[in-house]
Amino acid sequence: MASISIPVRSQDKAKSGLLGWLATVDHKKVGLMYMVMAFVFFIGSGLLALIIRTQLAAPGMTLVDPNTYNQIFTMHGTGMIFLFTIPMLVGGFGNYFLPIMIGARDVAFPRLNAFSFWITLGAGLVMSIAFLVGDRSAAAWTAYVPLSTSTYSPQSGMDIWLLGLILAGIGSTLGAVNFMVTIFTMRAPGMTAWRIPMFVWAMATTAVMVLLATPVLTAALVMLVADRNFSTQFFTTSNARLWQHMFWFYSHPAVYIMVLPAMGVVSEVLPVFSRKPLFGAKAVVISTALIGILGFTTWVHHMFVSGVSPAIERFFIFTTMVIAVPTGVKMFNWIFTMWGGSLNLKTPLLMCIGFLSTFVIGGITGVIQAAGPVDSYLHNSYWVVAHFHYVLFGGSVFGIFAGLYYWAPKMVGRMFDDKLGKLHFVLMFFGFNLTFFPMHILGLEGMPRRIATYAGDRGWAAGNLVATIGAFTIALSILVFIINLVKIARSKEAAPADPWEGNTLEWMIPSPPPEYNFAVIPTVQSDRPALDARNGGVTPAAHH
Amino acid sequence: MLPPATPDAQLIKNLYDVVFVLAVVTFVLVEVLLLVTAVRFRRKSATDSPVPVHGNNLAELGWTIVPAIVVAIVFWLSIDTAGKLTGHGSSNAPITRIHAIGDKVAERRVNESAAVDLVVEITGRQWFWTYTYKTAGGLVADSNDGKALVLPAGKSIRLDLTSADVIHAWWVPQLGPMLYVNPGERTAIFIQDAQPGEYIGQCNFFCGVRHAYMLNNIKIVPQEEFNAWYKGSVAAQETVVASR
Ligand SMILES: [Cu+2]
Ligand SMILES: [Cu+2]
Repeated sequence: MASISIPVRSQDKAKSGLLGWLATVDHKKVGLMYMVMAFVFFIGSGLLALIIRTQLAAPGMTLVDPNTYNQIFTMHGTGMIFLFTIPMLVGGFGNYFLPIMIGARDVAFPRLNAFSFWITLGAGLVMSIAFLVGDRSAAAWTAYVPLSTSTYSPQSGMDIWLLGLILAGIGSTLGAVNFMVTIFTMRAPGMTAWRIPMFVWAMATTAVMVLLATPVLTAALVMLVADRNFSTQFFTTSNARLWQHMFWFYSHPAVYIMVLPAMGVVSEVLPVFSRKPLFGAKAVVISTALIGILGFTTWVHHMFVSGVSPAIERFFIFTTMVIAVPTGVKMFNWIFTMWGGSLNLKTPLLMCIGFLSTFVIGGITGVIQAAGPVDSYLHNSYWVVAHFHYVLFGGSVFGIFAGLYYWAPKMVGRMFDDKLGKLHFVLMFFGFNLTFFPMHILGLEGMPRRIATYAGDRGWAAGNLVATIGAFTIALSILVFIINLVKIARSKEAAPADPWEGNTLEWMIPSPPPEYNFAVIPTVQSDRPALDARNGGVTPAAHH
Repeated sequence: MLPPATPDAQLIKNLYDVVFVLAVVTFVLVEVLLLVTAVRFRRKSATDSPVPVHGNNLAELGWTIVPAIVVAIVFWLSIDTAGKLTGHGSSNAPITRIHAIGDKVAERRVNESAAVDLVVEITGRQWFWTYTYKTAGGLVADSNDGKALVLPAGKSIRLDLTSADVIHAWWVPQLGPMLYVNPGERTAIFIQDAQPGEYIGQCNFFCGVRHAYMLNNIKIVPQEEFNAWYKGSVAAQETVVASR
């Protein structure tokens, strides 16, 4: 059996203690730091959401004044997207598992990797400090010009917010370069294209998207900073839609940057917990790539009612609807991975089922909204708030928790409490649907998003109250998750190397993985090397 | 959706209703399939060993083609409806929806493309609307004092929209499509054959501190009632101007 063994030099051994974390370039430690940071911002942005929901629980509430309310929803959106979802999925899961899953000892540029983390943390700190000490940005996460110019948003909080996003953008662009080089050059011997794990395929597609999209946003942000401070005229003269084009050229693909890695997690968990191979693996890879490409062709659907011409509208209605096809393919392939399987209904699988059953609603409402004339009713209404939460919470957040439960034994070397995990799932699933389903109806009844309050005669009180009850149910579910984390920390039950009968390489090394992952770089002979190893080194049914 | 009060709003609702039915069918199909799968294939014993099916080309082709057909239908319905909306324009006679203020050529094209009975210039401001009737007397009013924008029923009316500061959005869902109100530009919304009644509009693009309070009422009244109201309002306006 051909295998390559590279001895690990002893001086490369990491320092322990605080300095060990601060100075680390180990992809696993960097990944864990990303995850901790992201989780902290998840809690912070979630608490802001609770303030929003409390304010809207009944008509005419004055818990916060309109100006504070605007700052809160601006920071809720910014935090959840740039400081939680992207760092958790790309920085956290990507860093920790991508190198192991391709049989590498680290990423291609470990020091650049650490730099990406620290600059992302810097972005988070810059924005949090601005938020905590006041003078905050209140122009929504979309920061449309001219509301975000120095005329209408003179506060320095707006500049600090822009600076924070520029830093976050640099961090994720550098991370994307690192992942691409790692995937291209550092795969274990035998890991041909079709043997690359689904999560890694998803990360590869995501990295390409980050690399093509993020610099456009960063450029727009720099231009806006210049307009605000150095009297340039990028956005202040003739074309009001320039900002909108640059912003959405990033921010539509950003949806896939947040969803594709979560889909990658689902594509890993479902086969393992169904004891079956992924149904139509090639179709899933091709669909992922298609979503990545088509994701760049739809951004103007955010601008149908901003005054674009009918011909352009028609084109973007088409491109937007087309994306439903590869997404649908993945949906059916996932369900038929479970069909005929032996479903191990533990928390990771339940979270995946949560993903499938809610994400499908976000996908369908996406097609409904893409119908131009319907968009001219629903645009910017609470329907849209419902839609993107079904995509980003129903999709990304359920996917994130699926990944956290799936990989927790590997990362910390202890088992979590599955009963508590199930309680977390049930509370979060019902809380989520209670919160966001009524928002579809509120939108149809004419409730605009981003309003600090509403009058009692509009008929929106009941739906909003239900949504608020749902939001606190979600909060309760997160509390259950935190209790589970504490239990894991105190647990004495060591996790085996492979608690789930996994397929991919991370299940062939101890939990938690040692420094540099592999004592001997494995040779890969199929798309499920860990299964091969369990079967005694040969694949009985590698190719069909 | 709120009950439509113009043919345009009705077109939008009809489209939504059809797409909604397709959506519900898709939703039920997927959720039932998912639920049946999750219940039926629970692990029964630790030694279960399911058949390792790697895929099925025919089935996969099926769930590529069928959704593609559904999506094609929705696309066709959407552009068909879009073409029927007043002022949206068709491919052979597009109406320029945006033009810079003062662009005479574009203004003439808008004027010629759809003859209307009444034009009202509307300016969005932080955080109210100003209405200027482009007709005898040139009545000026604003939404600040809770007064409604009064318009005649059953006529064709064009609202020329612009903003004095940031972006706002004109949204009176019962009367037709929404449209952004941009500074430095004019966009046009048509209200065609509206039924009498009172309708609530609300700014639907986040425009700063008091965005939540940027509401406007639209009152559609029969032509005679409109004429009487207009005469009275113009006379009142003239008195105010004269007394200055
Ligand atoms: Cu989009
Ligand atoms: Cu406004």
